[in-house]
Amino acid sequence: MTEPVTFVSLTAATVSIPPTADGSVPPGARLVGASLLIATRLGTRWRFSSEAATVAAGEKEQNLLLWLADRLPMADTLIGWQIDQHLVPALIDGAAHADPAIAHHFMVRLARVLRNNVVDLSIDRSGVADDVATAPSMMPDRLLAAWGTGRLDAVRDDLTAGALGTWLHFLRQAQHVGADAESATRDWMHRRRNIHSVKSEPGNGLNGKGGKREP
Amino acid sequence: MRQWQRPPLQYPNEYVVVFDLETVVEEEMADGSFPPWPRHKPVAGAFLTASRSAGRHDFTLKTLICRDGGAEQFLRKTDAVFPPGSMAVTLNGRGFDAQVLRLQAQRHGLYDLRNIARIADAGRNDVAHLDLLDAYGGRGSSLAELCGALSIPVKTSTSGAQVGELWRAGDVKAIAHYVQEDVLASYLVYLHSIAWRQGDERLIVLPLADLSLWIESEPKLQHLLPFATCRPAMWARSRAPALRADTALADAELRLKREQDEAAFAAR
Repeated sequence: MTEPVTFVSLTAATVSIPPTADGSVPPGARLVGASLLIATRLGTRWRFSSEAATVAAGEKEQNLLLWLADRLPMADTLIGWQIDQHLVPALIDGAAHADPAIAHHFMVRLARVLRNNVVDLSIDRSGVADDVATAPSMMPDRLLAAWGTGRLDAVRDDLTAGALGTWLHFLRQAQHVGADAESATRDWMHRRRNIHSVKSEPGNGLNGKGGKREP
Repeated sequence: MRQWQRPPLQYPNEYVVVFDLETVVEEEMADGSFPPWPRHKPVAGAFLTASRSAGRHDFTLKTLICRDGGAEQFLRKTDAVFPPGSMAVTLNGRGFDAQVLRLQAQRHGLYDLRNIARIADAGRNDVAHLDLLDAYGGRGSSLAELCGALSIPVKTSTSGAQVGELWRAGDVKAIAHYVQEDVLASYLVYLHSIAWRQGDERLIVLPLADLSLWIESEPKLQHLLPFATCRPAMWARSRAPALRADTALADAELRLKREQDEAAFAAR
């Protein structure tokens, strides 16, 4: 029997927080959202899922970590943008400020997903991830405003688009995966658009969005 | 029978200065061979400083040019690059670069240059100076050969034999780039050596990943980009996130254990 091969495309957004005037809150960075696209190949078939979640100002970062920990699978390949420079440090920093049990649970999952092949597309310095980095909702001022007001729909959309764009860019680079993966991805995207499968994740003030569809 | 063995030398890696000199001689050898080292005068030196703090590595790359009449200033600036407690790293520095610096300092009466003295006087088992030729056995090894075997880019722009010609032609920039490339190549060889010696892949993966990001972020270092994308660098950049996560996981385990211990103590 063929073993499934799992690819995970992961994105995250952070805001830089300026210090308060009275100095009671030091400057720092906060996790705002994360998105992951999971592509699993089983023989010649592909299965996809894509989800995004955000936390607004006043909500705990650890809710996002918990959400992510529950979804991060055992990955054969993790794909991302500025993984060592931005993505992993932001997640590790978030865990450092979380309750110990949640931090531990999350770090077990994060360490596991990084254990195999890690592909950082920013090293190539080209591709669609550039578009994600400059997507309107990801501009620092707009992201900070969205985080402050809790209006984060556009952020979730752009994070989702970022994970998908990163995956497609990877496919164009990774010849061994083949064109069938890109074709399967586009079929899945097309069906997903038609179904408008959108679900909200209740609880903990966490806003999530996702869709699953098997070809 | 029990035999006494010297414990393996633990080289410090918190503050390392990798350096290389480019030199010229008044008169080349008639047979084209390498002139005896005392005849050499430095014209350029590159110094890569790598320091570690808070889990990340910081780098600076200083390049000094020694123009006619500027030897004393060159030597004083060179001496200042090696603060006490740092470790100098060279390839054949014990046999050439450090000896050239010491002899030139003596020639100019600069007996107060104690950092150069410390490096030049260091023996094979002295942590003040690690000569990579000692680490790799000396005979038959050269920077080009070691780098070739390890897939590290080296001698891409010019070669050591051309330095005299470039210097006389006034092409200081070409010499500066060349010596910088040699220093970066030496640093990558050093990372292989130190990680092997201590059996710890983090000693090459983390600094090499940080070095790659640093090179990419500095517009003035674009000619050194091959060092950020060579095979060892790509491997390091792929491994680094996992190693950082492992460290963070160990911290999280410690925090959780502490919390559980405190809860158990409070419940008594």
